[in-house]
Amino acid sequence: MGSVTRRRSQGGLFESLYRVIMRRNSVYVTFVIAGAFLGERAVDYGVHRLWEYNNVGKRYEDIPVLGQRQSEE
Amino acid sequence: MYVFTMENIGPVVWGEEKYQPFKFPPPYLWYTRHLSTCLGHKIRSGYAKLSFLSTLARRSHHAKVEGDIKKSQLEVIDNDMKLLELQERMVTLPAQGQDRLGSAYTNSLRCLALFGAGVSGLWGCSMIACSDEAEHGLAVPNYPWPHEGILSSYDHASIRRGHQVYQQVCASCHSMSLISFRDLVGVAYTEEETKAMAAEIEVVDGPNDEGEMFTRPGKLSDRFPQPYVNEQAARFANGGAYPPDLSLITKARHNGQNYVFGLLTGYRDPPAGVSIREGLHYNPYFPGGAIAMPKMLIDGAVEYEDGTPATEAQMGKDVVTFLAWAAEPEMEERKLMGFKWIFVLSLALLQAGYYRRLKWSIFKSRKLVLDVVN
Repeated sequence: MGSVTRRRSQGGLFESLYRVIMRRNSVYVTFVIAGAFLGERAVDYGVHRLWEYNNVGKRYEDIPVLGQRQSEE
Repeated sequence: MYVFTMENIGPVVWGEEKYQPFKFPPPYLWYTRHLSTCLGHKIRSGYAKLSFLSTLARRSHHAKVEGDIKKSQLEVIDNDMKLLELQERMVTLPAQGQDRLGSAYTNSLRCLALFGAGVSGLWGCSMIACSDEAEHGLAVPNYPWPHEGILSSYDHASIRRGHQVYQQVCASCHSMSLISFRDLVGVAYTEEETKAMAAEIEVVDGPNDEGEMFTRPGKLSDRFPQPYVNEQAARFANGGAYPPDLSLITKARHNGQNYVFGLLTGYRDPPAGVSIREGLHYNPYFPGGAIAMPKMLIDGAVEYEDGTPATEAQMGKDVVTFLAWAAEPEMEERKLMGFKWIFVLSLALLQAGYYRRLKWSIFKSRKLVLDVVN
């Protein structure tokens, strides 16, 4: 079996991700917990923006005659 | 005598040879070894089941399969760099590949025949079941409801108008005993408006300190008022037919929203030869064709607060939106939750797949050597 000298550690996204996050378990766990907290906030915000963009004019706040029944009494 | 030796591809010195440091292969190489396994065979025979493509696929596949079998021999060691070296030492086995493919072909032909028989039988049965319009009512078209998509909310202005239609047109006969006034707050009316609406009705309340029942003006926590005291009174007032409670009607009927809209706007003269008895009306969407309810939505029957012209179709659309909300008030929250969770869990699935492949890579890349000693 001849020795191959082409030994270049190719970067790639997975490789760099592994090096940063998955080398130590403590870093991994911290990443998971912090990521869950921040990720939930980000996903909530993003999906909410998408929802509002998709439902222009259909919200409760957009009802044109809101409160007018009361003023008729 | 035989001895097992196991060589892990890692930074290990084994005898006098030094192995290359193990590299976790990139995702596009994860499944290339599987083409010679049973999974690969299943994929191939499944593909061959497409009848009009199978012969073409087989011919072009023959050439490819031979190449794949060569490659799979190499990928016992799933290491990109070794691939280049070992390719020269390859022994090709085309005959073996043909045999395997031949039995797969007859197998797939049998599967195709069974599948075809099943499909034609199923189709025949379904055709018989769908032919009776009088029994199931005319099939309703699918209308493009504004709240239809996976990220679409209700049109709340439409819910407000629909409640107005219900109150003025439908509430004289139909109860909605599962909806309270407080459900409308924040959906169609403000709290003050709803309180004023509730106060217009009289509600019988439980015994007072003297033991007597008394009536009081309605509160937010009261349910919508019922037009009849009980079912018998409702039947007596409507010629023996009971106007159903509308709280869940769009969920209680097949294709409920489209069905209710079609029914309300579908009154027409009966076709020639069909006679409906006195007291009933012809509606093709109602199973049986003869419905006790007369046509209630007439152009201009209601005057909308926001000035929308109250045509029959407009009132039908608004009242069905209101009924859909009444049956499924949680829909908006459900859609948001579903979208968020499915999105996040898909990402988690990718992570889990990567992590599993990472941990298993040691075992998937090991090599067992069976050797004779002495």
